[in-house]
Amino acid sequence: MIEISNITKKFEHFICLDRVSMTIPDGTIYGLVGENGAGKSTLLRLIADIYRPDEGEIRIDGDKLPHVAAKQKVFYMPDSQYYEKKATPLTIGGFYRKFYPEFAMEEYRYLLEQFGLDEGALVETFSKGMKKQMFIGAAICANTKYLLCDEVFDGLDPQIRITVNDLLKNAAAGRNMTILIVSHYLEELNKICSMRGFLHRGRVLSKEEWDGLALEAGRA
Amino acid sequence: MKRLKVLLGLWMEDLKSKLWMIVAVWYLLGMLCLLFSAKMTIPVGEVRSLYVGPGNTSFFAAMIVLGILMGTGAFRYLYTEPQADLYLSLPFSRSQLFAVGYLNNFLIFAIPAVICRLLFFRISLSMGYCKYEDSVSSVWAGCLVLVLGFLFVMSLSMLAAIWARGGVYVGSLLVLFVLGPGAGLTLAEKMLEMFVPSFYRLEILERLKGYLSPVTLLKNITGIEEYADGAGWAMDAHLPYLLYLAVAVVFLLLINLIFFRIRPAEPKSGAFTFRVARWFVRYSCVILAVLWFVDLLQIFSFGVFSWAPVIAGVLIGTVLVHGLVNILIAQDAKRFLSGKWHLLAETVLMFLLLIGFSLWGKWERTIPAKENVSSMAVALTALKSGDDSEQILQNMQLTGRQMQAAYDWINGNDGEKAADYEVLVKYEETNGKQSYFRYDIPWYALYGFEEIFASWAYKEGTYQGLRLDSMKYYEIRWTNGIESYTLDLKEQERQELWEAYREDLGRLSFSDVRRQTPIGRITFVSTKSQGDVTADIYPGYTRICSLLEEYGIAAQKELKDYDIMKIVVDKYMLTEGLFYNVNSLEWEKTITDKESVKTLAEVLFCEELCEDYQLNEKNFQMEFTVYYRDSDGRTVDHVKCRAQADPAENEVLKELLR
Repeated sequence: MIEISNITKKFEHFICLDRVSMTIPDGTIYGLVGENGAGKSTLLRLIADIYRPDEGEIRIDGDKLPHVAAKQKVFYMPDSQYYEKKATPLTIGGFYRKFYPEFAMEEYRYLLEQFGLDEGALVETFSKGMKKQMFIGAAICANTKYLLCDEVFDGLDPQIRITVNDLLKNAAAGRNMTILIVSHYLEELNKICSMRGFLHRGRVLSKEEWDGLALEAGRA
Repeated sequence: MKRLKVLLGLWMEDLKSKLWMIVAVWYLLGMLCLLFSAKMTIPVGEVRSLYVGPGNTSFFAAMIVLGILMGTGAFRYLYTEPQADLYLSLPFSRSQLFAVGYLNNFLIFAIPAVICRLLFFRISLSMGYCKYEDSVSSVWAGCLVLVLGFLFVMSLSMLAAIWARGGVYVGSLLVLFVLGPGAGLTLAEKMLEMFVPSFYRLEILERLKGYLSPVTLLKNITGIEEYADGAGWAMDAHLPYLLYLAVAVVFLLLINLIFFRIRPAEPKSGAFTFRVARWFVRYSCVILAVLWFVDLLQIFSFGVFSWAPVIAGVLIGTVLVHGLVNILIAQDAKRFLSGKWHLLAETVLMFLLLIGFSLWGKWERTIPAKENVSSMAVALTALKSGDDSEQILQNMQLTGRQMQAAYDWINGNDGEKAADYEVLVKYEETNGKQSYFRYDIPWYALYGFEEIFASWAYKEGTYQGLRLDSMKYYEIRWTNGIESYTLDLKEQERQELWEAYREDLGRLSFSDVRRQTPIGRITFVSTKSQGDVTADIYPGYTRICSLLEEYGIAAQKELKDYDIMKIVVDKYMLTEGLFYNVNSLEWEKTITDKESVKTLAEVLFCEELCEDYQLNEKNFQMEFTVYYRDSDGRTVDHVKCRAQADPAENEVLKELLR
């Protein structure tokens, strides 16, 4: 379970997250929705221990961040993933295998094959969607308890989105993986998420508040 | 076990990302060995054992360059968001990430450095440049110093890289770390000099410079500033520096670790990551720049201290530097006048600092009472034929009656209105305290200097030639400014010549120095790179002259004894301003008339031998180029000469001066 308590994060004079509290139960696919600049990616980076909160704390299965025991259970997949210029899908798999002992290399290669990705090709030559598929494959095969996905549907065509949705659903069900997805694609999230949260200007909103906002936006 | 494997994975991955460093280190250090084995890096004089000791300048330079490169490039992933996202989200703590980066840098440098140093030693042995038993300890000391020095430079660079954003700011911060402490201590000396006209030097500041200035510390620890070669590196003499460096390395390691752990990964505006870094840069820059500005403005006080330029300097300088630092930190030109509280704090700090220097100066300028002084050293800076003033103060020890005479002489003549000569004095008090003073004395006070000059302790402290102990590793060269020969002598003959010099110099009086110009010079040339020592020969040096005559040297031959063809006279005009001195040619004359040439040559002296021109005055507005027949009249050569300031009865010189 990921417990976020009263997290505040400021960027100089801008308050990005303002006393945010939420709980992500185990085994769920949690969708966090919000418009651009709402603080979604910042929240993920805080859970991944890339950023440090100004106030509040985050606990993963009771271990408070930045404790390594907490970090070991999390795989973070950012919107744009870094890879070396000469990296191939196979070397990327090898890279993650060093750090995540449960990484399933054979399954990863199988997934690459399913996606139609050449495991020896340069990642640099891949399209945005192909890269996304490859990294989702790696993220799932890392077999961590928690998977944090930032804008996972960005750049994917409808067919691939269905495949990705299936993959994530299977991972959550088959591996008892807890997945936190942040996106502004509410429809996609509705299809796979068992729970949803709404983030607006650094604050968590209730479903009603969010609907009200959406209605106002529609009228405008 | 699993965790260890994962950590090993991180170590390997970090090593892989630093492949360029591994290649650079092996290439650079390997090339040094290769060039050395090909005898391409041996300097003139072959300072052989220098190559195996800590004072090897090639390794010193490599250590600094690689330390900076590896320190600034250690955690490159912090500077781009996708890389920071990847590395910082990996299942490791920041301490583990830091430890792996630091350890890898250490290994990448230390392994090749030690191997190449040992290889150097092996090459030196095979070339016969050193002996195994003489050098083995300095080889290991060289390895230790090299690795510690590298860690020190790397840690400073790493801190700069963690504190700053962007290459330019990292570079600037590193310059501040490396040069700032030395510059600060030099400015402190300048401030004391400004407030106390008699200030010369402070032992505590010198000692602080040796430790706090990274450049001086590294030079001290490697001993590259010492005259002695690397084999002369002694552990006991360098141990305090070595221990200090080790402590500094550990301290910097902890500081780096702390800042790495808390370094924010999110993008921020501004040049520096932490508030403490911004404050450090702000206040360091303000203190250094404003003190420098205040010192610069003293030029307008024309040698008399005044508070007005000090206050003006603080008020103008602080605002100016504050604004510039604001722009630097915020990377925004519109922020020139922001941070008003900082401006107030900076102004107050600068005034407090200057008041502090003023009070410190007042406390330091108290001359110790005679009964508290155990020994003294006196350096008359106009006596250029002696050693460097610093050396004199270090080597001289006037005690007893001589010390009392020196104390009375200097303190009886200080404060006179006319200030023609500068005298530097070191007092060693009975409680072990050393204090240094600068005195300005009038010309007539020099008559009282005779007694001090006559003492052996004064001469021994002033003339290095007297302090040599043996002529075993020296050869002797003679010159009169026109001819120059190296004497082919046995050790015993050299020893005899040196003893003759000591005897003659013992008889030399201060009035001889003021009245006579040396007729020649001998140089004791070290065959072991211990530095050459020169000794002037005055006309009254009968013993050494007769010995030289025995060895076939015409030691008494002067300029007038040569077959002079013509003398070209250049008269210069000196124009002095506030910021400049220009020496321009006023006229030129050529004298060919035999009689005039002969008369003029009586009062001309080779420029090379006119070192003590302030005591034995020469005319520096006129330059004489004397053309004479050389090689038994077959060739012509020329020599630059000066005339004595007082033309006396010399009609030709009188005519020229008219």
